[in-house]
Amino acid sequence: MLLLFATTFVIGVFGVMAGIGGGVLFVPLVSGFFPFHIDFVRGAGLFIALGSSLAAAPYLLRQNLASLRLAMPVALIASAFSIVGAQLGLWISELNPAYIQGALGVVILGIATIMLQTPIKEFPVVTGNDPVAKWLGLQGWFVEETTGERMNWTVHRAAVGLSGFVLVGLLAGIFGLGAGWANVPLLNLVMGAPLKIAVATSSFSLSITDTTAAWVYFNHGAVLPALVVPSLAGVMLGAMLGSRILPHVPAFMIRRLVIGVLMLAGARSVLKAFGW
Amino acid sequence: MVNKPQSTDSDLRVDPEQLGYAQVVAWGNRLGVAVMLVGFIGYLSGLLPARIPPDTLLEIWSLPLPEFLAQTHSSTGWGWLQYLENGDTLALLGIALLGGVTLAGYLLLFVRFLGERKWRQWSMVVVEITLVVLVAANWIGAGH
Repeated sequence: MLLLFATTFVIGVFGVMAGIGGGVLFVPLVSGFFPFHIDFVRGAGLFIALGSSLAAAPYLLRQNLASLRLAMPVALIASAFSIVGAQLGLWISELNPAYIQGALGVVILGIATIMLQTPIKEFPVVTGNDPVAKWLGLQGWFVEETTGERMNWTVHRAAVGLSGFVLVGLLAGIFGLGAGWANVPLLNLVMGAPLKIAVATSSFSLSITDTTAAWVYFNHGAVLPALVVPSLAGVMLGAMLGSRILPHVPAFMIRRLVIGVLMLAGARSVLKAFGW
Repeated sequence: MVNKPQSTDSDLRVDPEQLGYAQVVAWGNRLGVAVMLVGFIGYLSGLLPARIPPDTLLEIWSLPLPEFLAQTHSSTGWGWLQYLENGDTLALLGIALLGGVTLAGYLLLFVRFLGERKWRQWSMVVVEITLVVLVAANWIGAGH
């Protein structure tokens, strides 16, 4: 249990700093290297993502790094589809848990590859006057710590970006992954939000996105306090530390490290599905 | 898009609904974590009775969900509420409270946006609240 706590503390620090949440690291690592059944790990994964997001959210919202206006439509779409994903995931697992374990490994390896090849931009150039973004009021500001200046931001391609959260919600529900791994590229690369806004809004919006899928697993009896509590305590403490370090570190360095861990965890999941 | 206009202190005020939401999340999170930890420490230390003793749990936590539920005579949905005297079930209550924090925050937004007549944001809040209530109450995505 101490090993589980230590593992999840490190997951919490790096999950929030990389803007991917804890779930995407927790599920493949714990299902691959600990003895729990994958149903319990996925249920716990959603509460880990939810818990780490709740721990980080107050600070990020008060600093105006996380945007409530931007998070609301994103989380609404993802949370609705995560219910469908959670139902689908539990059904597939009942057929054969190895299907979920193997598919999880493939998805994790895919996520790591996408993260590796995706050129995240600190300040994307936003062109045009996007009508959906304007209608939803998707704009805001933050204070750049290095210069102390107020930086205004808005987004574009809102319709395309928001539709991407359908897939994000489905995968989050099926695998219990949280959704931060996809939130950042969608918010930053597709919609053009500055990297700090994308990372912080992603970290915050997980608390909304994952709530619905977490309740599906909870109501099916797939939430085990002995797995969730030490893991959640570890991830929350780690996330609190991570959210305070976040404004002071270059996010891309953390991402490189996280990509390496994801590749290892993904490969382990695939091997475990084949009984190795 | 980012630009850099001259800023004053009044320009640096965060939206009040965002600050209110942050406050609800902070308090809700503390409450959920506190209940969860009290229950779990009571469970591990033996100060509170256990619904599933730790020694038994070690042997069955790798079982598929249907088998686990059958062996522990556990019910799905909200049936766990009848076992709240147990430490592990109290910890489960703390976890459920964490699952309710978003709902509490959105109820605040419901009132704020309604008062300010921000209908677009209010509509999104209504849909999100509906989804969370339906799924938490086990009316959609139900476990039987």
